[in-house]
Amino acid sequence: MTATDERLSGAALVSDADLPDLPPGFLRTARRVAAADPGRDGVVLPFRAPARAWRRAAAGTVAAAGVAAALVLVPGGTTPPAVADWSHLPDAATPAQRSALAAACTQALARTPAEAGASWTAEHPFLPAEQRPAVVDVRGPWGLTVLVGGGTVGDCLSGPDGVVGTARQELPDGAPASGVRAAGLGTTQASDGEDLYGSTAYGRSAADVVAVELVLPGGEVVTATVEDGWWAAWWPGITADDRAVRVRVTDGAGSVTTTVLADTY
Amino acid sequence: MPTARPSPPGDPVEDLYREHGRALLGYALRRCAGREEALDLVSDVFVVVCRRPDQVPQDEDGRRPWLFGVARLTLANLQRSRVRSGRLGQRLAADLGGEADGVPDPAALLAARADARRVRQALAGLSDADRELLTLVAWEGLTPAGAATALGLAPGTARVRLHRARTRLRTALTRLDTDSDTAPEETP
Repeated sequence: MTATDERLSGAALVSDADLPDLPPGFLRTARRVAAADPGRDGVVLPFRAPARAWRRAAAGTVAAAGVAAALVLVPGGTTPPAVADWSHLPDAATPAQRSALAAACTQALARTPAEAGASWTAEHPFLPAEQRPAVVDVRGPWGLTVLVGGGTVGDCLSGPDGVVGTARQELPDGAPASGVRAAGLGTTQASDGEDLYGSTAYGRSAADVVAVELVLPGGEVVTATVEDGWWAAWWPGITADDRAVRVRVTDGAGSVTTTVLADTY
Repeated sequence: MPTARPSPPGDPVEDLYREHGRALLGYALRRCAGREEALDLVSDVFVVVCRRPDQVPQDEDGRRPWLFGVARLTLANLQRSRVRSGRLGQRLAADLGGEADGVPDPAALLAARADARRVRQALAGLSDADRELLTLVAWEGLTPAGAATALGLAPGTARVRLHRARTRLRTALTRLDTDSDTAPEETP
């Protein structure tokens, strides 16, 4: 064991041997809570907050919000269900759309209260003035906006009625020398009488990357928006297996490489 | 003599709770700023597990890495989400009863250990992935392959990243040690 290993071990602070076993009775409480709220996404997947009702007149399109830091590990749901006006190909965002989505995302992230006791948010305050849109993915009335600034990267999924989910995390390392690096993989839970989910993915791309496509477990291909060393895409539905999504990257020379998306994280 | 009947299959969630609950509490205490936050994490993880018992690995060796993988995502959620639905940790503390007094407060421990603070400062400068990989192996005793399971990485990828992460940690520690040696002494 090296000196660094020893120091690292010493920084653990707590030894399992010194801890009590968990009380048998608490598992009953956990089961009760899970049974009382089965759809709230315990799903190993963190949920997006804050939740704001996302209502549409058309049946089958919904949502309020939940966010996740990683692709979700839930059975089933590998084929994007129909969501009105969503498309596998992104639209070219107009400057006005970009500005509006960036402003809405900044406001949504700024409104998100820092939770008492959550050390991460205290150490990484959201700084609205420092935010700039890294990439904005637009598909019909839907937008996935990625903002960077102040050492963090935040994202907002927006629908026709505004932002429905937000998340923020530390800004990852810079752009990779080649290919792509995932920075945010998540799932938004939507609920308005019927649960719907949206899977989001974004990250950095090398300077010579001209196209990024996500190949979903069912074989469907979602083309990502690529802008200035960033890429982003989202698709309806839960992504059941975080290793089952592949990312297909095309560089300027026409060379295509395909990788498991999770391996680029 | 009657023939022995095979034991009925156990409840995977209960098995997980009984066999790995204490390890999960340790995981939480080593990563959370305070005891309350750690108990919240443990309780939230088991709510997640209770919602998805079908996800608990059948393979016993895979259960602890999987549980830490769930904990990692749940912790990210607790740290990133701004609305928590309930303070289940308080219920867990109540169920622990007098034994809750035996759950150390990481904040107090850290305050008393200068080198641990420096190591954690160095860890904080690493990426989330590097930090978790290093600590899953060093603190939770997982093998690199087990850490790969927890993080959803290929084993080979985890080994390469672990090597690089150790190098980054060593470099960061050396820099902090040097800065400390050259820093002017504090005056009261």
